[in-house]
Amino acid sequence: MKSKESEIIELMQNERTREKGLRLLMDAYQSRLYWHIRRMIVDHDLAQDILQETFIKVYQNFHQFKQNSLLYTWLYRIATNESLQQLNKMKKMQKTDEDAEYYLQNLVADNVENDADEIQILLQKAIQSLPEKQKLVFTMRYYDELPYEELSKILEMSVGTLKTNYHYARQKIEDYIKENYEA
Amino acid sequence: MKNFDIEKLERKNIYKTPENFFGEVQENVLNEISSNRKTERKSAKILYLSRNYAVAASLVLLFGAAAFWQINNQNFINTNTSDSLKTAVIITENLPEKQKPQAYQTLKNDIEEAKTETTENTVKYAESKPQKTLEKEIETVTPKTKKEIIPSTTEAQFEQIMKELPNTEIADIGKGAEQDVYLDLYY
Repeated sequence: MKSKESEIIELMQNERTREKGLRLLMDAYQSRLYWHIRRMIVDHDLAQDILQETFIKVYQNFHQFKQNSLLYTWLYRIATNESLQQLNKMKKMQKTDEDAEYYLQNLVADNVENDADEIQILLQKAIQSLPEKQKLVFTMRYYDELPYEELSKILEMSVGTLKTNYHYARQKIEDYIKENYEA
Repeated sequence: MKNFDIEKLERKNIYKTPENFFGEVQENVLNEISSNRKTERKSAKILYLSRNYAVAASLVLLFGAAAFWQINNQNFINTNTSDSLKTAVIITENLPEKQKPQAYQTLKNDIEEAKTETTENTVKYAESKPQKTLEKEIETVTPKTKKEIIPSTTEAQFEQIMKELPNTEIADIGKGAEQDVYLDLYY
């Protein structure tokens, strides 16, 4: 992965080969970034818009990438910021935080595959009931399996805080599933 | 469900996604980037053109303002001098008979001073103007000065001399001269 990263960086730094570099970058990271955004936003169309916006920002602001972190860390950071902005917009459209949580859980029910396991649906609903920080930490650690050190760079939190957040998130999710599982 | 452990659960993506949408994402991104690039080029071109127009417009404005100021300044000097002389003559004519000789003398001195000043200004102005323009201006200005200033000063001088002479002297002069029919008719 690191050699691919350096190849992408090299191409992106040159004005003439930047577009080629962007194609390689999209091929390499689009799936991971899309699922990271989708778990936050739930709605596919919005997730696609945010993914596109992320790539456009990466292209336009590549000179700001200082290479003191990994490329995917920087990409995750942009995608996370874009997702948080979208979540704030969605929350503003609802009257209360509870309404927003309820709206997101309904969105989960509308967007899951027909043959999805009940426990998997409950897991997604439980994730949507978490506060934003815990939601981010949990999804990036649980699904993307990012090390705490990288998470610390993306979310600008200490490793200790991240571990605490992950622990509380896991606890809440397990409690939610235990309460709502009917099988 | 009592011993449920989330870590043992399979990591699955359960959301519905359209097929091959990543291709669409890439196409949209590249289209957006190329259209942005075109807009940037256009705006850069517009910026370059508008900068040239701005420079041209400001030059025209600068030269226009300079020319307007120069013409306006010259007109002010001319009108101001001739207006003040006219006013002085009118005031002098309306004075009581006893004060008139002194007033005419002062007016005479003023006119001479004004003439000297006008000549100095004209010389300065002439130095800063091309020869052809100056000739045209002289042609248009000279007749006015003759009509307005010179006749009024000779009349004033004549009247002054006549007033200073006693009636006996005027009668003596009249004896030696031929009878002027028109003068008699006038008086």
